[in-house]
Formats: sequence, C-alpha cells, structure tokens
Amino acid sequence: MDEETTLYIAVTSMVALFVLFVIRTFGPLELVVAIFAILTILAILIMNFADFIIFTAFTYIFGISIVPAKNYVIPKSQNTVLKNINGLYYATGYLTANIYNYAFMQEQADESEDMKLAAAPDNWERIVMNIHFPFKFNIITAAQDIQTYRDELEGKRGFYEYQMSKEESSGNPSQMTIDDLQRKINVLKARIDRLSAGERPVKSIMYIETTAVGVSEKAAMDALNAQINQLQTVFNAMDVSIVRVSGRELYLLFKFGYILIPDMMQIEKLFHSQK
Amino acid sequence: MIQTFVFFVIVIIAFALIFVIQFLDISYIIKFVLVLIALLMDIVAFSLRFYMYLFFPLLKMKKRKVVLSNEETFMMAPNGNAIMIREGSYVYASTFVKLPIYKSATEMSDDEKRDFSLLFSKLVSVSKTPIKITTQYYIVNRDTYLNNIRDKLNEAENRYQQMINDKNANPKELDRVRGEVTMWSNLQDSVGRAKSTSIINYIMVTAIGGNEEEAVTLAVQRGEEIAAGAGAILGITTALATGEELLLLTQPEQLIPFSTINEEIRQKTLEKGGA
Repeated sequence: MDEETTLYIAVTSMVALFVLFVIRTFGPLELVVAIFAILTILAILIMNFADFIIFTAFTYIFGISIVPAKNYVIPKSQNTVLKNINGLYYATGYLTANIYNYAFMQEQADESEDMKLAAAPDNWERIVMNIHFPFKFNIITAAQDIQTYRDELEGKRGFYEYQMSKEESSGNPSQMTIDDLQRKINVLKARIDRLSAGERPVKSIMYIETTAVGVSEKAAMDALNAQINQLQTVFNAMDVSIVRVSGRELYLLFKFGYILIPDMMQIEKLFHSQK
Repeated sequence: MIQTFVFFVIVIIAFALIFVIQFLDISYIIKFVLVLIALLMDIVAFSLRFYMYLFFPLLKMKKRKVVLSNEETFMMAPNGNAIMIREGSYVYASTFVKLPIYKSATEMSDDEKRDFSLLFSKLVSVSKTPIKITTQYYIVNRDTYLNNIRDKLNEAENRYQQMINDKNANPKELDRVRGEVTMWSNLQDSVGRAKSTSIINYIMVTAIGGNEEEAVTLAVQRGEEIAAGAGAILGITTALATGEELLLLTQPEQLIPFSTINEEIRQKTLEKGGA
C-alpha cells in the first residue's frame, strides 16, 4: 500500500472514529450509529482492497452507465465496452493474463525452464489455432534499472540473513521461523542469480482483449461472454492467471488502447486490485 | 492536486457536521440522518482515491449516463503516423511500431524455439518507459474481394436471364453461362463461409507534449528508437504504422469487417430458410 492510500485510509477512518467518540450524543440510537460507523470503516477497507466489487455493485443497483467517448458505452455491469456503429454493436471485454509473477516467485531457477521456453511457441500456435474470433494479447512493460533492483534485493537478503542469525542464536529458536526466513532468502537468491545470468528486471502487466459483434447490445454481450469463456479455457495451456476485468480498471484498459501513462509505477498502482 | 483538495474539503465538511451535531438541540432522528450523511461523505471522500475522474461527471449525470467524453477516441496526426488525445493542458501522442514476424513453430527445431522465446524476453525489456507489445488476431477485411465476386455473379445472372429470353440463343453457350452462374455462386458461398484471419504484432509508444506538434514529434522519435531496438533484437525490418493501419490497430469494428458480419447474417438467414 502506498503512502497516499495510507493517508486516505487514516483520515477517513478518523471521521468514523470521531463518530464513535461522540456516540453518547445520539442517545437511544447510539448502537445503530456505532454499527454504521464501523460499517463505514469496513466499506473503506473493502474499497481499498477490492474497489471493483463496490463500484460495480453501485453502478448495477442504480443502473448507471458510463460514456467514455463518442459512440462508446460502458454498461452498468462494468465489464464490457460497447461501440455502436451503424446499428451494429461491438462488445469488447478484458481479461488479466499474468505469467511473469509465477515464474519470479520460485525459490530456485526452474531446471525445466529451457523446456518451457522451447514449448512456448508451440503452445502459442495451438492457442491461435483454437480461437476463431478476434483477440489481442497485450503486455505493458518497462525495463528496470538493474543495479538499483539488485541493490534492493541484496538489501532485503541481508536483512533476512540478519533476522535468521538472530533467531538461531536466541535461547529458544523456532524452526518454523527459520524455515520461513530460509525460503525468503532462497527466493531472493534465485532472483539475484537470474540477474547475474543476464536477465533484465521488468515490470509488466499482461491482459487479453477480445471483441464480439451483435445486432443488439444483448447479442453482442452474449457473444462476448462466450468468447471470454473460450479464451479462459484455451489460455489455461499457458498456465496464466485469468480473471475478467471490471470497474475502474476496465476504463483504464480501454484508454490504454490509445495512450499509455509514462510512469510504470503509476500504472502498477492503478492495477493494484485486479492483477 | 485537485483530488487532494476535493478530498480534504469533503472530509472537513464531514468532520464539521459531526462536530456541530453535538451542540444542536434537535431530535435524535435528525441527528442520526445527519451523521449518516457525514459517513456517506466520508466514503465518497475515500473513493476519490480511485474515482476522481468520475466525481464531476457523476454530479452532472443525466438519465443515468455519466459522460466522461463526447469526443472521438483520438485525433489522427497530420502526417498520419500517430494518434493524439488531449487531456487537460497536455497532448498525448502514440505511435505504433509494426513487427512483421513470419516464423512458425512448426518450422523450428527445439533450439530455435528456445532462442525465439529468449528473443521475445529481450524484446520485453527494450524500453525503460512503458510500452505496449500486442499480438492482434483479427478477421481480414475482404469487402473488395467479396464485392468483386458479387458483381461477377450479378453480371453472369443478367447474361443468363437475357439468353433465356432470347429464342435464338446457342444451347451450348446457355449451358456455359449457367455453369458460370453456378461457379460464382459456389465461390461466393465458400469464400463467405470461411473467415480469413491474420495476426499482426506491434508495439505502442506514447509521448506527452505541451502541444500537438511537440507530442507527435516526441512520439515519432521514440517510436523510431523502439523500432530500431526491436528490429535489432528480432532481426526484422520494422516500420511505423500509418493511416488505415492505425485504424486496424485501434478500432474494434476493424477486427470484424462489415462484410464478414453481413455474410454471417446471410448464411444464418439461408440456414433458417432451409430448415
């Protein structure tokens, strides 16, 4: 969580806590007011970690649709961008498709990595052969500075090693804590080894975009749902995490079709809840 | 900046409301309603963290439609080699670098497949500022081709009708024209039934400028840098997409051409008629 979000949570929670502080003012209704104040804090926390759930529920209940540009509509379900051209409706949906996180969370550089790399073009062609409708596979990426990244990893490793030696030299060392720290050190070591082997650290966001057409909004959206289900099945071969994007991130992905934000950190922040 | 200002204004109003409630000599029900409003404002204030772009359009909402923009998604640069979007006082321009890759996994040995995957990994780290690498699978626009077939069919049918009405027509020639009508009709059916698909790979690069010229110049310059880098990595000749190619890469209706939809509807109608 970044500093700005922490500030927002702290300030808004203070408002709700202030209500609890002056709860006696509400006489017989103090219990109800207290419940509402606690619910407010909960709503803020849920919004922080999964805002797309609350936002989508809000637009769905009140039937609110968004017009992001001329001829485009994001309907109340917030998971589709519709375009109307001469009475035909083009529905576009987005799916997250992140591969990189999984490979980079391993404790050791995988021995079968060469095999995976060799199999990747085959897997990709198999996917393309099995899909008979338009789609785009997008990777938003930016390379990181190797030295800064390496220093960061070395620093973290040093800290965990210090914690482990402290735990080991304590009177009653916990084997579970030692194992956990060892695992964290191994993950960091594997990352440092990858950098030493010539890999360049990158920050990336991957997503799939597909478009369906129909003679009505419903027909286009139904066709899109069918296409998305098929994509989810077919892309399982690539061992990716696939989730349909809805809410705020959907609008951002729509915009990313035309322009990108020049700061990768900012892009990652915007996609903190649906990766 | 505006976001933080609006956030603090709403939070201060909510705070003030709760503070004042204590000293008001009003019924508990009214106090309860006022505190609910304050808590709701608190939630709205937090939601600005993610939804500032919706705040003012939501206040101006009409018929449950929040209009973020009523303009086209982008403007084409005068040279036709970039697209532009104005956001506040800045102009964003994007260029698209085409990556013509004509390799298939079926023609590669295991080592070549592995090497190709590694090259792609290098491509991902070609830029330190965010870029978007996309593989687009789309249905080829065969409007002209299908129209030509339709014209030939119409012409052959007309000739056939004229020969039927002509009592002196040569029976052999009549058979030949009938065969021609059947040929064009079959060709139309077979071409219409099968979709021609294609894949295009490209990299999208965005630059920001104070005015249109500056943004486009920067975007083209960055696009050419990325094109050179990507070309060197993959060993291909890269170029910036221009004119109608940009529409193919950005507009959903270009992914499924009108002729294909028309043909699909025709086929469905014929199938229903046959049933």
